Amino acid sequence: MSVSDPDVMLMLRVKDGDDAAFDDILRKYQKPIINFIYHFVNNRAEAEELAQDVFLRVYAARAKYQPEAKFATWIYKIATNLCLKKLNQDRISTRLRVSIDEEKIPELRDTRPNVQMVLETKEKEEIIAKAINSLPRNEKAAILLRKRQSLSYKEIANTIGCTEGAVKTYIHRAKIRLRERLSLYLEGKMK
Amino acid sequence: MISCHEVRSCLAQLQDNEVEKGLRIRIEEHIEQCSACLNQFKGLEEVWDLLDDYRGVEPSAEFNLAFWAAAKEIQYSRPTLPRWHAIFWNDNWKIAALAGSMAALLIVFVGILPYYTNYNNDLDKFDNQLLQEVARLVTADDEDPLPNNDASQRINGEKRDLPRNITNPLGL
Ligand SMILES: [Zn+2]
Repeated sequence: MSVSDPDVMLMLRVKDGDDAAFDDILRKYQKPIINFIYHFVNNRAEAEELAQDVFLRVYAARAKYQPEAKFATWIYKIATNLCLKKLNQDRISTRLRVSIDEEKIPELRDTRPNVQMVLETKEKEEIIAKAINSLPRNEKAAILLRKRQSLSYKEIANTIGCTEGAVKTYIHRAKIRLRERLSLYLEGKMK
Repeated sequence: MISCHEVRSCLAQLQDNEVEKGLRIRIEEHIEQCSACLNQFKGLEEVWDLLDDYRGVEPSAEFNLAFWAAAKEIQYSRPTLPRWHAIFWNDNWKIAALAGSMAALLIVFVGILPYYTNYNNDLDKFDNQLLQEVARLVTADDEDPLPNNDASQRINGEKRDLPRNITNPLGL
């Protein structure tokens, strides 16, 4: 199965001892995986550290690799599990945690248009990050897998390890919460 | 007609195209006529689009190098015990260990064998001595008083005193 998946072909080459093939996997997946994790933990250093862990696990599993699923499904499953584990350890699912450093946002606003735009973007990202990070961990996982990976509910259920019905609930609740928490920002923008 | 409450519980799924066809048609018909539910749906769409603005970060330039360094480190810094175990417990070493054990057993067996044989010989010697001793004691009881007595003079274990002249029947 999935032998038509080019990433599976790369991984089979890695299995045969071709480390250059793993470099190709790294190049292709490092940014999406780091960002997927970054949206989870909202800390760049932690995101890179966890992403490295994801790739180390994939690399360590090369000898026993069996192409049973799409490579992307497999690697995101590893990433999601590590993120959920990390969130569980840190118990950050219950508290707001935003890593976009507060000190990087100056108190006095520069009025030049381009700088203003950068600040607005930063502010907006901070607000979104806060809203996402306030979600319970399973809701966060479900919403990020849906938003960032466009996974179906069935695929999300398989990745998180829950039922499709649970995914429906997680996503429904997460969307309602996000709408509540981001509505003020959206209303402000509308004015 | 489907209720507002039912519609709103399905809006998130509708947005993700995860509603079965029949229900989707009923929800869409409801939304066309219900501005409150339509606004709820638009609100979800706005939020969903807003999430696209949370872009993320560029990976560090040294991410790949750091990965390979970590991969090599893991490869070379495995705990000592499992590593030695791995070296010594492959198939070749299993065969070697089995052969070694057999050889050691053989050496021990060969080493013990002479002692075992000597021990048996000693037992035999002891038995023989004992038998000889017993025989000597038995024969000592019926020691022939005659100095030139010999076995030929014993018939069926009985001692027969033959006349001395018979020893030289022709009288020569
Ligand atoms: Zn309605």
